[in-house]
Parts: sequence; C-alpha cells; structure tokens
Amino acid sequence: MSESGKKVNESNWIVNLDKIEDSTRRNYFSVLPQEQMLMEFFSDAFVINKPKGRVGGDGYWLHSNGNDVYLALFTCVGEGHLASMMIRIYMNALKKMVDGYSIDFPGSILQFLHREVQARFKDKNNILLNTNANVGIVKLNTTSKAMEFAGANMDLLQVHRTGIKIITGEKSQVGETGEHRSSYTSISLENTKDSNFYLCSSGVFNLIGGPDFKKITTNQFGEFLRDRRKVAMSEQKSMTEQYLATWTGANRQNDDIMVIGFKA
Amino acid sequence: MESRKEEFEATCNLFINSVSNYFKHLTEIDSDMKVPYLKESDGLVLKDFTGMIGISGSRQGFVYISANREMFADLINLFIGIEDPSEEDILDMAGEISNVVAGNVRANLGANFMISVPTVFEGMPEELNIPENVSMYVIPIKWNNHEAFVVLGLD
Repeated sequence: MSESGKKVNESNWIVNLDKIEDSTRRNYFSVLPQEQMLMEFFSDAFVINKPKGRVGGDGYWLHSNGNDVYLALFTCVGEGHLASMMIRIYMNALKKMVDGYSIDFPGSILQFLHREVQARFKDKNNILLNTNANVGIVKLNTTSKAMEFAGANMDLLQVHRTGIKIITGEKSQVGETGEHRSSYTSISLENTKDSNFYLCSSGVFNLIGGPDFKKITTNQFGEFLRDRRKVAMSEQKSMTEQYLATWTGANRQNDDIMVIGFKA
Repeated sequence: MESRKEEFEATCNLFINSVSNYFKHLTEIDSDMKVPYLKESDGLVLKDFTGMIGISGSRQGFVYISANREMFADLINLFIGIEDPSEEDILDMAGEISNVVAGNVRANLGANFMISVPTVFEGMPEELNIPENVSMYVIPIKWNNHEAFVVLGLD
C-alpha cells in the first residue's frame, strides 16, 4: 500500500481528473498506426476514429510488402475496455501472420485471422467476451493500382464518377468460436485509379438520428460521400465528422465509429 | 448536517453495492467487505492499478477502485480466458470494472450528482491533486484472496 497525493483547492474535481492522462486511452491509440502512415502508401487518405468511451473496439492495421500494401479495418464485437483488449489480440494475430507466413490474398488473411482467434479461444468456456469481429481488408499494388478486397460482415464503399458501388463482403464474421466453417473470397476491383474507397465500422450505421430518428443507411452515407467525391480527403474527413455529428444531434453517440477513406 | 451525513452514507452504499454485485453476478465468487474506516491523514490509499471516477454537482469528490495486478489478472482469465495478460490488459480490466461500477451508480444517483467516465492509471500520477476538505472513506474488499480498496472522497 502506498500513500500519496497533493491537496488543492479545486472547484470542479472532474475537471481536475481530466488533467490526468488515461492509460487505457493512450494504450488504445498507440497500438493503431498513425493516420499519416496511410499517406505513404495511398495518394490521399483519412481516418476517423471516435470511440464511444475512452477506448473502443474499432481498430485498423496497415502493412506493406514490396509494392503491395494491406489495409484492414476491424470492429470487435462489444465496446469499451474488453473490446479494446480484443483489438490487441487481432493486431497480434496479424503480426504473427506477417512474421511467420506468406499470405497474399485478403480472403486468405481473413481465413488466417479466423483460425487464429478461433484456436486461441477454442477451449475457453464461459468467457464473458465475444471474440468475433467484422473485418474488411484491402490489398493495393501501389504501382499498377490493382486492388482486391475481402470482407467478413463488412462491405467496401467505392465512389466513382459513374456512381456508388457497394462491394459486399461475406456475411460471416471472423473469430466465431462455433463449429461453422467460414471462407472469404478475394474480390478484384475495377476503376481503382479514379475512385474513392471507404471502409466503415458498423458503428457508423448504428448511429441513430437524422430527420426521422433512424439509422444511417449505406446508400445515404454513400450519397453523402459521392457528392463530395472531388474534395480532398482531409476536407472529406472534417465534412464526414460534421455529417455524423449533425446526424446524431443531441443524442448520445451509441457506438464506436471508425471511417477510413482512401484513394489508390 | 444530518442529511449530508445520510447522503454520504447513501452514496457510499451505492458504490459498495455496485462493486459487490459486480463480483457476485459476473464472477460468481462473492466478495467480502471488511470494516470500512475514515481516513484522516493526507494522501490516497492506493494499490498498483486504479480506476478513478470524479463526482460533481451538489458535492465534489471522487471514488476509486484500486487493486494489485493479480486481482485484475484473475478477472481477465475469468472473463476473457487470457492467462498471460499484458500490462495493457491489466489497465483495461481496471477500466472495465470502474466503468461498470460507474454506470450502475450513475443510474441510481440523484439528479444532484454527476459522475465522470473513469480515468485509469498505474501507481500515483504526479498530476493527480486531491481537493481540500475531502473526507475519505476506505472500504477494503477481499475477492478470491485478493485485497482491493474502494475509496470514496466527498467534500
């Protein structure tokens, strides 16, 4: 037992407490890549990461191998500190894959993740945590701009001058501990050079608000992004933050939110 | 004056019950509340890892839950099945229990009180200052052979 502390005349203790850095928040953000790192591999990009609390269950991963770059967004089921622990488990599984295996295709990476998480929790009965996650992963060849996508209960939004395309992922999540088998297909994308792409956590589509107090649909969000297609990603970021805040209005943010926008 | 004392006791009981229920319902292992005591000397009673919640409104103060690594490691093993938790996991577990307790208390506190999102830290942060004129009520808890403290300080 240690005894310490200084006494001050502080009129609002909550304000005083907010001056201390929360260690879990620092840990959560430090495990994720910096937003600027995306600019090294994509011609333009942004990341919006707004956990509901101090920490969240949304994360993203960036990895390059020669001319190929991989970007994944994952939404761990649940929220708060337990989901934040799962973020590290997913990040560590991806690190293990990079260190020990040559896996090229986005679908194969999802399959690896699924098996890793499933194996880790296989014999753990009665745990209070959902180990599943929605994951979307993109592979980009930075020279040819060829691009592939695979999703586990996550879609990719493609905004092109001809319209909005929703690249649909598989329905099954990664990491489910049941007996069912999951397979994930890698989808080759077209018109990659003059499109904007967006990966979104499920929290975006759980936000309740708007004129009819409803959730945002993928099409509504896609149309919002399409109308700003020519705007730089940094501006799109602030516009998207404003759009989501306006949609939520006076209601409390009810889920973690992550949006990653990028151009090949 | 009597009503402030009653208010203090009622607030203490809310936190005690919330912590007790957390262990009982989520771990299915009962916790044992030891004899609470009023702490009069300066400084905080801290274990290794702490989740602290600020209280404001009609009265200013704080409540925190503090325990050593081993207790949080046991909870992580029980909840998540991780047998070798990292430092980050331990801090998150301290945050999780503080969050649940804060949420339960928030739902039951009167409109005169507001409580903050917990702040989690290891050891004693230099920046942490405690308000003057705060009485601290220390409730030692034993759970699964681990000792923890719930400490309530109100002006």
